[in-house]
Amino acid sequence: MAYFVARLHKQLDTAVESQQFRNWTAPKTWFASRCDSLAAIRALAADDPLDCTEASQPEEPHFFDELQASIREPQRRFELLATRYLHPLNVAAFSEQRVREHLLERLMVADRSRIEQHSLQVLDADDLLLRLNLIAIYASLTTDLRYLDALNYYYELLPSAWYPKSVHNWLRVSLLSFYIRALSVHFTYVA
Amino acid sequence: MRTGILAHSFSSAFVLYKAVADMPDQEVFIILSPSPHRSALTSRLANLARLIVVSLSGLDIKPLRLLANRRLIFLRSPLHHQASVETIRKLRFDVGLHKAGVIYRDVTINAFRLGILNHHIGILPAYRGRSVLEWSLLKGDTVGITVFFIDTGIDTGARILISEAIDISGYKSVIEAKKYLFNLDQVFFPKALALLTDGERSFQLNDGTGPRYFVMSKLFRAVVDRLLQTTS
Repeated sequence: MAYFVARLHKQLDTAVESQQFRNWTAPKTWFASRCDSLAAIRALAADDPLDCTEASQPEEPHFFDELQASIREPQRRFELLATRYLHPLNVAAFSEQRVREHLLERLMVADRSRIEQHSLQVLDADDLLLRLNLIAIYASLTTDLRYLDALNYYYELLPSAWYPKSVHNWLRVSLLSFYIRALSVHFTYVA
Repeated sequence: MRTGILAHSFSSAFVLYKAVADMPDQEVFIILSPSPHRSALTSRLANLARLIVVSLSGLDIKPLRLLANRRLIFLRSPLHHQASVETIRKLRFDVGLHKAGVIYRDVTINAFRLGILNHHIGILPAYRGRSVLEWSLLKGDTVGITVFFIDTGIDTGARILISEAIDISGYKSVIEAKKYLFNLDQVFFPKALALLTDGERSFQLNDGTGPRYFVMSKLFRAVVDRLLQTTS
């Protein structure tokens, strides 16, 4: 974790100042993946190269229904998303529009309201962070500012000293990396 | 036309009541459902207190007359509850005016002959959901009001009665502009009721295809405020 954070810190410092992030493209259909989604998210956050070979989309006709059905089962939802987006850039595929809207809506309505009215503790941190990471990846690839603003909102909402007791709490760091990238895509950095 | 103003708070409903009550051919009622954060009894007591305050502060007998004429209806349950729906049905309303902070269910909407009208501070179908004034400004689009018959979705009701651009260039902050647009319900609801009474019911279609917007971040709100200041 410490190595990952240090590496990201150095890479982001350089990238933001020179505005040089590796160029991402959304898949025309679907990108094949040879690694697991969490490793791929770490690679993307560190701006490492990721193989983007077009492939056919997996046949999972019930994925969206299962995703909707899992709104009260965060661990199940985490598994569903991690399994579908082995290559995280696939979240930007045309076919995923309904999924993206669903993720955005859950984050900005139900989850936001639960955090504001109760506390962050009521949510599963890994599930929340994975969904935010996926939204953040898409925010760099779209002109739809609602996705970037969801990141703005959560940046303002989540305490800077939030250290959730979660298995994958490095997802906080990758989220910041994707957020900075999305900001740099949409706005010019002035030192 | 028999009209019911649906609200949680007497004060907000009464402001609208004053705007529509004196229109010709209108029988206007106020229907108060319990606030989601209070019990039916405390909601009712709070609203009776508001009624007295409104009467005394404005030296206005209209609120008391509403009570005496049984035009002020206190529901004991939420609007979708069977007992509330029955009460509304028995009063045989033509139309409802939305002033309560809820998303309505079909049973409630169908208890009104024509449906429930909403005054939305954005142009539909392009701007659905929250913070639509801010998003319209940020994207350089027209700011305006849409009066439409609601359905159970978020600003997806198909029948748009009025859609009108509004000039907010005189306002220097989003908060002020928003307040102005919300208060225009006292202008647009009467307009809509007049159209319905005159039988001029040509509806525009809200195809619900516009994206749903959400609460805007402080960062973007500051940008929008700056935009408003530079254009005003």
